[in-house]
Amino acid sequence: MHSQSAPPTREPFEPYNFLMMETTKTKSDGQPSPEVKKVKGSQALMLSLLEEDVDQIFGYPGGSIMPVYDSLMDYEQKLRHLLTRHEQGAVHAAQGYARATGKTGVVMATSGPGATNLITGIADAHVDSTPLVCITGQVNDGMLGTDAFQEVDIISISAPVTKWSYQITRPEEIPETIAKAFYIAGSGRPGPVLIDLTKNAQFGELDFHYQPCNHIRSYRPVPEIDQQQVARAAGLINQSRQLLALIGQGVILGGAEEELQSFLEKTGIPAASTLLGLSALPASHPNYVGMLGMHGNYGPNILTNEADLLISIGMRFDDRVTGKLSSYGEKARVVHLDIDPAEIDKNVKADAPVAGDVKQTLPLLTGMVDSKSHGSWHERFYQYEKKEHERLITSRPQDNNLPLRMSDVIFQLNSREEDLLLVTDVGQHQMIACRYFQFASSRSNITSGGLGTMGFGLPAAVGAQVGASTRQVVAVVGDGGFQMTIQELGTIAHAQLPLKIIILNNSYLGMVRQWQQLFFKKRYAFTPISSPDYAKIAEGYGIHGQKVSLQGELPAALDKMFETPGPCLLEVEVDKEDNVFPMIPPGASVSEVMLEPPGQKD
Amino acid sequence: MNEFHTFTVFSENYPGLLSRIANIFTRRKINIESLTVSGSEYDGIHRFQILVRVDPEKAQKIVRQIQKQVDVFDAFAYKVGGTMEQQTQLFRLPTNHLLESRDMKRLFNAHDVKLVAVNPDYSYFEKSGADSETHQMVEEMQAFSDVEHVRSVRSTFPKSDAHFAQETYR
Ligand SMILES: Cc1ncc(C[n+]2csc(CCOP(=O)(O)OP(=O)(O)O)c2C)c(N)n1
Ligand SMILES: [Mg+2]
Repeated sequence: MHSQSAPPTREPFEPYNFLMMETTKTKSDGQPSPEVKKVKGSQALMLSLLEEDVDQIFGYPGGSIMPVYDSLMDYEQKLRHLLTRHEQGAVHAAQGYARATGKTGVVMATSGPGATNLITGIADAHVDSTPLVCITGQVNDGMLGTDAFQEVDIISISAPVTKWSYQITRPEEIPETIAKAFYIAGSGRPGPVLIDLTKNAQFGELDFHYQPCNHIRSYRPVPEIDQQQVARAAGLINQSRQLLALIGQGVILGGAEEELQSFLEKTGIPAASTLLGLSALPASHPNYVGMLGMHGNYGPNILTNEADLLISIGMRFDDRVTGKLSSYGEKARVVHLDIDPAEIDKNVKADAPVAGDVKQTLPLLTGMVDSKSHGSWHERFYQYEKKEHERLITSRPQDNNLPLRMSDVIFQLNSREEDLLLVTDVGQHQMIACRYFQFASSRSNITSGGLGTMGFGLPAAVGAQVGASTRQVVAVVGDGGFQMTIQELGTIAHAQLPLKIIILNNSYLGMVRQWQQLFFKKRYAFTPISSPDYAKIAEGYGIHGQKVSLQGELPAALDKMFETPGPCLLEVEVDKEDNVFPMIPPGASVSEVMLEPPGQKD
Repeated sequence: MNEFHTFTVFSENYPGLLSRIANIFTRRKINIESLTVSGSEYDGIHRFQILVRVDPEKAQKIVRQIQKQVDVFDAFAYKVGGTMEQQTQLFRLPTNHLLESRDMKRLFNAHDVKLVAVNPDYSYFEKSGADSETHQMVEEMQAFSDVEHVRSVRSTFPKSDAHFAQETYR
């Protein structure tokens, strides 16, 4: 077993004192007497959320959801509500909360624009398998289809990006539908559920009784394990010589981190991670060999095409991981463990498809595989790792008076004692941060993967900090993405979240600029981007702000940031035209991963 | 290579499910040639029949995407030919045209067309049969003006026994 000192924890902070002072006029103590059975729909919603152990809601009120918000005031002690500054902020915060805690995130918004503002986050949660229950208000059922004020058909709009959705038009439907919503969102391969609640259903009365849902007759969230396929997978593992395990988010979603370690430690198989699988296995684990994909590490990409067996564990062979499919894993047979049968054979054909929950299937495999060490195969990963490090890191001039690069910031974060929870936005900074951050414990990496949603980082960090109140959350965000959801500074200041925000400012939409440099003849079409003085903006919100631009200034600024209680923002001016390498060029094979731009190769 | 497939889907009957299932095809730019939703022999369970042209490998992937829908019990894709198929075509034409045209009467006889109803304005006829037969009939009808027709979806049963086992879904 690898050894790892217990991360320092902190006292849970109380971010809501301010909020609670504002609402001391709460009507009741939030405890309805048990014999009261007749309740309003909006109250039934509160009671249902409590039955589902919800204690945190992210949302924004409006006309069609006013009865719900009115009831929420009576339950505020138990159902805390964080008012974001935009509904997109609310849904990303709920995503951050869900991914930090493993619980289902809860979002509320009004009809029309409130509901449509959720769509980006819902789509993001759908493709990244994040459990959410989104509750939107809707006009009275009698007005449906009349183009009433703030009426949109959110059920149809959200259908392609939700796991399930339902429109409640009668109050009696509330308890059962909410029970179903939570069951569907959190079971099997998790995902977002949208419940549209017409205003008459919120006002109307019902006899409340709650029955949690654990079965839906048409729904099989976890496929039955086929023992023959498990045996076949074990056979392939025992026969093969150059094996590579591919870790996906399924390990985290299934809570199978320990099962993964047992499997890897017994078999000695090197393991690489997808972007979303990061932190399932500590970066310091001896079997860990780095990140996969377009901007992943050098060794695992090259050696994917040397391996004779790929063992995919809760990952879906996304195109950003596989590169050119026809030459992916050229020499390898494939074992694919996934809870979603639709993922098996979707992009890469499996020789041994093992459908099921990895929490169950991994131990079955571990029981059937031989103990090995694969020393010389591991050695090849180390050689590539050394080469990558020498070329990209150690060759760089280090001097206190030199400008900073993005990776300097990440290495400085790594040198801190604390087990930080990293939230990133989308772009160059994301790839650098995710690839070089030394994740110490599971659920320490929150980033937008499948959708690549700029603007995700700051609000997701809000939710992560609310959910993981004993941990220190650090948001690493680009200057472009930060300006997409900058308004959430208001939420952070209001709730006094002790969030640390680092803006890596390269004055460009850097990732797009990099592609323009490499593939569009350096025509930088609309990628230079200006920024306000972020430290001043922060100060305007009452948030501690700093700015640095030289290597020598960084350590002290980081110390200052982590020492200062409450929210802090640090703008780091970085090299403007730095590129992210390694890189698999679009359309190329994983083994064509480059350490520098073509032409510069020696 | 695209081939005709009939997808049979057994599902709950919720509003919104139709568009969820249709989306699975349209998202991949697959045109739906015909679609029917009806009750099934299983109480409370609905049956979709969807006819599309699609590559057989893609058809299998689509089946899994449909099966993944929470409100879907099960889904199957059958290549046309591997199934027992029947199609129904309903025609309507002005009654006076029918009385005046011997050719049309001859055509109806030749194709074994059934008279469904007659009133002073319109006459209604029905032709059932395999896809090719109804197509042939429609081709020949092109010679006459004022004939309107509606085609129902093919009703399909698999010739094999791979089928929905209701008892596993209780
Ligand atoms: C909402 C959204 N719009 C556009 C893009 C396309 N895009 C991907 S990365 C990127 C640049 C991001 O710039 P910045 O936030 O400054 O990060 P950097 O790459 O410079 O680190 C853009 C525009 C996106 N991913 N998301
Ligand atoms: Mg930038």
